[in-house]
Formats: sequence, C-alpha cells, structure tokens
Amino acid sequence: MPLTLRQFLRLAILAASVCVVSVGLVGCNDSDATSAADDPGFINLYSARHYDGDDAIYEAFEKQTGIEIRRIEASGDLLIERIRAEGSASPADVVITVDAGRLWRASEANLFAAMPKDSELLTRVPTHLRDPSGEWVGIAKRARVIVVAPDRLAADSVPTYASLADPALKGRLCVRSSSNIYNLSLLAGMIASQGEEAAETWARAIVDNMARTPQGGDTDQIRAVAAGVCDVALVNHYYWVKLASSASEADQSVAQGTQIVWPDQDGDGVHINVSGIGLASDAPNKANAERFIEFLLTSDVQTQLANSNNEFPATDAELNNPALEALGSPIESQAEIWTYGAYQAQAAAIFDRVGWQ
Amino acid sequence: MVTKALRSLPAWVGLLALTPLAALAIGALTGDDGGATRALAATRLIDMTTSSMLLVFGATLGVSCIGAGLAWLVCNYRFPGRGWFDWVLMLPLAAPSYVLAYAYLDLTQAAGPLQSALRDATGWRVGDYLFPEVVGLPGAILIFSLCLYPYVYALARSAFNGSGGQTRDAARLLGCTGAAVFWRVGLPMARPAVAAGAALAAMETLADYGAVAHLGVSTYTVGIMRAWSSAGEPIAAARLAVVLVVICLALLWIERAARGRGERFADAASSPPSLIQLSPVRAWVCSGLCLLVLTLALVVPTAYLLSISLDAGPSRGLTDAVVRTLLLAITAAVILTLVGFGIASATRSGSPMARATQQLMSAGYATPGAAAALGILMLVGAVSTLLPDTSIIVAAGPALLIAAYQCRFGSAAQGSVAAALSRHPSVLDEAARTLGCSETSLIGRVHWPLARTGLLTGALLAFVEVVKEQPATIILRPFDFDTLAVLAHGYASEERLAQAASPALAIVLVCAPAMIAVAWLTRQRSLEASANRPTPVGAVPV
Ligand SMILES: [Fe+2]
Repeated sequence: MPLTLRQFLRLAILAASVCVVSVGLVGCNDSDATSAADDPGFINLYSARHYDGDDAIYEAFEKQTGIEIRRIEASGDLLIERIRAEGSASPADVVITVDAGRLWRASEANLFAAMPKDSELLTRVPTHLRDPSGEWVGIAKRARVIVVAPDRLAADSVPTYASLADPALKGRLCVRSSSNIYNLSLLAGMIASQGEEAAETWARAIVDNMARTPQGGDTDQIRAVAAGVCDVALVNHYYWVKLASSASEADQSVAQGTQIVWPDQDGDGVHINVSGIGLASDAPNKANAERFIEFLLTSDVQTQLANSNNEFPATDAELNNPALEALGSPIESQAEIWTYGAYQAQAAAIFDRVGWQ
Repeated sequence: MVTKALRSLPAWVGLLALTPLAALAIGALTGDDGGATRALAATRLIDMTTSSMLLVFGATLGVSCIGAGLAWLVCNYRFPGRGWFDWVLMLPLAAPSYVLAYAYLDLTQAAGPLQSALRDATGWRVGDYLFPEVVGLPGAILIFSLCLYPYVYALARSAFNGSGGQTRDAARLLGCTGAAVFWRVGLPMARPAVAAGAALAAMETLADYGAVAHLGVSTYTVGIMRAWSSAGEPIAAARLAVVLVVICLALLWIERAARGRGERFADAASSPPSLIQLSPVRAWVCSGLCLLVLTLALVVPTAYLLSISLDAGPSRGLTDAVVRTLLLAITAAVILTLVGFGIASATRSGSPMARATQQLMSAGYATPGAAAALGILMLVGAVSTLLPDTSIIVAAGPALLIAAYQCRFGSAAQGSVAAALSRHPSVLDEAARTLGCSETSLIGRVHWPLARTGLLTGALLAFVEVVKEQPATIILRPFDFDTLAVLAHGYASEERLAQAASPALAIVLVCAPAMIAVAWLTRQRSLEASANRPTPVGAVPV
C-alpha cells in the first residue's frame, strides 16, 4: 500500500508526538506533577562515577529523605563543559568527579559555590582532601600503586615511583595512555612536590622503560603483568582488588600471579586521588543538594561508598572490606590534592614532550 | 507566500542544525586557547596527523578491497549461499567500531583467552611466539575495514547490478578471464560507487574516537580530545576540529569531482550480467571468502561478547535503555529523513539555498561527535545568558540531542533520498508542471512517490547511526536517560567489559533488523532496475 505524502505526514506527526511524549515520560518520571507543599523535591546530580554500587546509596538517600535524585553520568570534562555552557541557567545542583584536578578546574571556572563552613560532617574530611576555599570535598580515596610479578621482579626492588625510572627495568614496564586522568594527576603531583624538571626526567625514563605502546586500561596492565608481557605496572589499587575478589577464576589467577606494592612508604607516602563532590554555584535545589553532600559524608555511607569500588573512605569511617584490608594500611601522601588541577596542563605538556602516548 | 516559506523550511532546519559548527568555528577563530594548540603542534600533532593519514589510507584500501571484491563475487558468480550472502554481507554495519575494538583487543591480547590457551597448551612464554594482536595502527585498520566495508559493498553491488552487465558479458565472449573482466571492465565502471563508499568510510574513520583510543592509536581525533580534556582548553579542541572538518570537506570535494568524471561510464547502463557457473572448488572458495569476512566482522566479536556477558548477566537498566534507545532513534530518524526529503526535493526544484545546505551538511558528517557536542554547548553557552531559568534548558534537552544528530547524520539521511530522486529523470517534473501541477503538489505527488525507497533507506541508516552514536548522546542527553551506547561506554570506561558486553550486544541486535531492511531495499532496487530494462535513465549508480 503506497503511502501518500499527506498520509505519511499525519502518521509521522502522530508517531513523533507519541515518541516525544514517551521520551518525556521515561526521562522525567512524574515528580513535576506533584506540587504539594510537603513535596521534598529533587536534586540534579552530574556524576562521573559509574559504579553500580552507588545506586544503592542513592536509593537509600531517596528513601530516607524523599528527595528524588536525577542523574546524568559522563566523564568529568564533559560534565564541567556542560555546566559551563548552561551558565546561570544550569539545572546542576551537585557535581561528582573521580579526580581532584577536575574539581579544581570547575572551581577555577566559578562553577562551584562555597559549602556551609559550619558543617561538622565536612570537617571530618582531612584538609588536604578538600578545596582550600571550601568549594568541594573528597568523598572516597584511591591510591596509584605499583603491581609486580613477584616471580620475575622482587617487590622490594621497586619501592618508589622513582625506582620505576631505573634503566634496569627497560622494556619491562606497562602503563596506560597519558591521556588518562590518573597518570595526569600523578605527574601533576610530582611537579608540585619535586618541580617540573624532575617530573619530566622521570616521565622520559618511564617512556624508555615501557614494554609496549600504552594500550587499554589499568586492568589490562595488571593482566599483562600476569601474562608475562611486562614485569611491573602502574595502576589504581581498586582494579587489582576487583580482580582479586572476582568470581571469575581467570581474574583470581591474575591477582594470584601479581602483587601490589604501596610506593614511597619510607617517603611521602602513596599518591592519593579522590572522588569528590562540589555544590553548583547556581544550584536550583541548594538545600537538598547540601543534604545530599552531608549524607555522603556520614560514617555508614562513607563505608558503603568506598566499598562500592574498593576504595578508602575519605573520612575516618571504618573500611569493612576484607580483600582491601588484607593489603595492609599504606602510608598516604599528605599532598594538597587541589595542586593536581593546578599542574595538570603542565603535566599534559610534559607527556607530549617526552612522547608518552 | 506561505507555501513558499514552508517549502524552504527543511533547508532552514538543515542550516540551523549546522550552527554548532559555526559556533565551533567562531570559538576557534576568536577564543583564547592558552597556547595549547601551539604546544601540541610543537610536540605530537605531526605524529598524530601522520597516524590519522596512515589509518585512513589503510582503512580506505581495506574497505575498498573487501567491499568491491565481495560485491563482484555476489554479482557475477553462482556459489553456495550466494542469495543469502547477498544481503547478510550488509549486516556488519550494525556493529559499532568501538564494540569490535573492545572485543578484539580483549580476545587477542597476551593476557586474553586465545594466547593464554596457547601458552597453557605449549608451555611457551610471552615472547617465545608470534601472535597477531588486534592493537595499534594495524589493528585499527583491520577493525575499520571490517566495520565499514558494507558502505562500499552496498554501493558497488548496486553499480555492478545496475549497469554494464552486457559490456561484461561481451568482454567474456571476447575471451577475457574473470580477473581481467574485473580490472578492465567491472571496476572502472563501478569506480565512482566504490569511491563514494570509501569516502563515507574514510570520514567515519577520521572522526572516530572510541575505537582508536581503546586500541592505543594516537590519531588526530585523540589530539582533539587531549586538548580538551588533558589540557583543559576547549578552544584548542575547537581549532583542531575545524581543521579536521576542512580536510574532510576537501576529501569529499575530490571524491565528487572524481565521481563527476566517472558518471559517463555508468551512462552505458543496461542489465545485470548473467551469473557464471563456477567449478565446485572455486564456488566453495567464494562461499568461504564471504563467510570469512562475515565471521571476522560479526560472528567472532558478538560470540565473544556473548560468552563474557553470560558470566556477568545483563547490566542494570538494560530493558529501559533498549526502550529509550528505540524511542530516541526512531524519533530522530523520522525527523532527519523528513528534513532530508524537504532539502532533496527543493534542490531538485532548483532552490539554490537547498543546494547550498545540501553541500554544507556533509561538514557535519565529518565532525567528530564530541566536537559537534562541544559546538552545541558553545551555542547553548551563548544563548543561556538570555534564559530566565533552568526549566527551559531542561525542556530543550531532547531537542538539542536531536539537533546534534541532525548536524552529524543529516547528510546521510538526505543523501539516500537525493540518490533515490536522482535515479528518475527531471523530465518527469517538467511533465507534471506542464500538466498544471503546482510546485507544492509536485512535492507530494511526484517527488514523494519517486523517493519512496530512498526515504526508507535514509531513515534506517539514520536510525542505525543514532543507536551507535556515543559522545554527543553522552553529553547532551536529558536526566536519567541512559541509552544503550551510554551504558556500554559507562561500563567500558570503568573497565567492566563483561557488563559492557550486554548493552553492546543489544546495540547490534537493535541495528541488525534495520540493516537487513536496508539490504533488502537496495536489492529490490536492483531487481526493479533489471525488470525495467532497457532503461535510459538511472544514470547515477548511487
Ligand atoms: Fe577508574
């Protein structure tokens, strides 16, 4: 049955309106309809965390407060750019990223408002994990660690980040691309503590020691160590813990064939980065947003949040993660993490100069 | 007056959807990038440009060989499964390149199942043996060749079926061998079609970020993302993106110029050649080749993803994501196709503005998705200061997303419609006008029926592109609106491939029926063409 244009247009308009309405229904749920005075409302959350475990925490908040959480998940840069573009009309209330540098960048662009200073919960987070002007705060800690294959390289032969630059490791090191934020923040931290020249020398030596052109993510580097492609790798600790506590036998044997080394334990301590949260400067639901931030900092939620990705709580809340606790408690660097943001562009330039892909 | 305004509406919509590119260009020219572009140019930009060029060269060669080769076999020889391969060979377009990259790197890397099994069986260690890992530049060339060859295959198949059959039969009677007929008769006639398909594949390769980043190839697009994300300079990213778009437009212009010269050959159109009977061995070799490509492009990656996703189970929110993906892609496909039809119809009626829009629209196709999204955000930034409150931005969310798709894929939808229209001679329009048909009823009573198959093909192609699209969807989507591509990206970026596998497979499953329909439609078209012979029209083989 050939369709005439007129018939088709009618059908198309009908179909399109059905689609648009259903998109609206699926997208916005029904909370706009309720306008009762006691409606606790909602918050708009822009998040760069994609961990399934976080869902349970959000649900607990919704249950406890009645406040609905509406989410957009994307990488930190995209979220920041979206808020910047939306300007004062942005619906964003809170922003979660998985890197302190991103938070610093958002704060520099005046996208954050100061959080309430009198909050007791905020002060539970150590000062070096917070923005000096109180615009954002860390909510979970991750460490960048060394992983070795103990049968090929003794763990005590690579006790520091600096030791990875040893020419004896030529062709034996695996590390992911320098486009990745974890490497950028690590190098930015080095620039802050040791200066640009030392950081560049180190990065150049790392490139010389690489077993292969960077490919894949942190998990791929750990697997490569286990398979014998390289003897040592530089990764975030939770990827190793996830393999060790995986249900898959293959993953477990990767963890068994490798070992975590907490670097710089006789020096500054292991490099720490955070997932962090900031309050958007023009937050339309500010009171709800502040409640959400405080909720994330309560002890139980801190434990839960850390566990959802095998991280460490940002406060002194208990850990309660046997697989992680089995690795001992490392000495952590006390570096001000906002500096990662300040030196990130310099770090990227160094990576480009030394040819770290 | 009103009808005239209505007629030019699609062209205006098309132009409006390109304003993000203008915003990108203005930002690039007037903004301050903090010296990031210069710093990148002084260090790695040359390497990145070189690897992009090598990648595009390799991928173009790959898609041309695979696409034209398979189309030649299917159109000329009788072999087991030919009728089935004829359309199934279109299917690999249903799998996004990033899905193939996830699957193949995981499968073939040293720590992957194949090499582990090999080491277990032989007692070898890494370094004792050679194994083809799908990684780096060669890996990326392989992935793009497998993903994108259907562009060339589809167009070459129509060209082989639609024209020159008698010439080829004549060449055979004169004693040419199969290979000589291919090189001396078939390929020269199909060259414009092969070039058009290869150009599409080349632009998609240049704009890709997901697959190349995963395989560790530092291409120019990786440079764009680095400027934005690592150096925190969106303006530098805009500058690099504008250069990329200009290069793509130049490539496209070269391809069009080449096609213009090729059309003379195709004018000698007649019938598809009679199928040639092969010796059993050769016939099975043909089947084997088709099966090999299909296995590598579709069976291996989907089977592997299926096997790892069975361990992990379906990811959270998978069914919701399927529904959202379908709603979004269907809405976008209908809108894109209607706009495309309007522009193609107005162009045919001689509107200079529609013609200009039609040509400008290809710039969108060449823009990396993330850069298009950046352009939209710059545009939103420019107007957001005028907005009273947040509700408008929230309400405009879905519209912005559709606008991004119109910007990126508008030319794909429009191209199919225009191609369908161009197969019919413009004397039809003149006859209709002479018979008293108004310009408006010409659209409904002549152009619409003539473009019918093109409309469906365009809508299906737009649908597939939208389902696969990642960066613009991720950044512009409304609250709580995870599509399949968004889910797959979220899990993959957290290195949970087993969980990313189920949304990735769902993308393939959602796109596959659409690709089957496209294959069926294009086959109908070539059957129609042969039924109507001899036809003096149908000059353009696309
Ligand atoms: Fe991570």
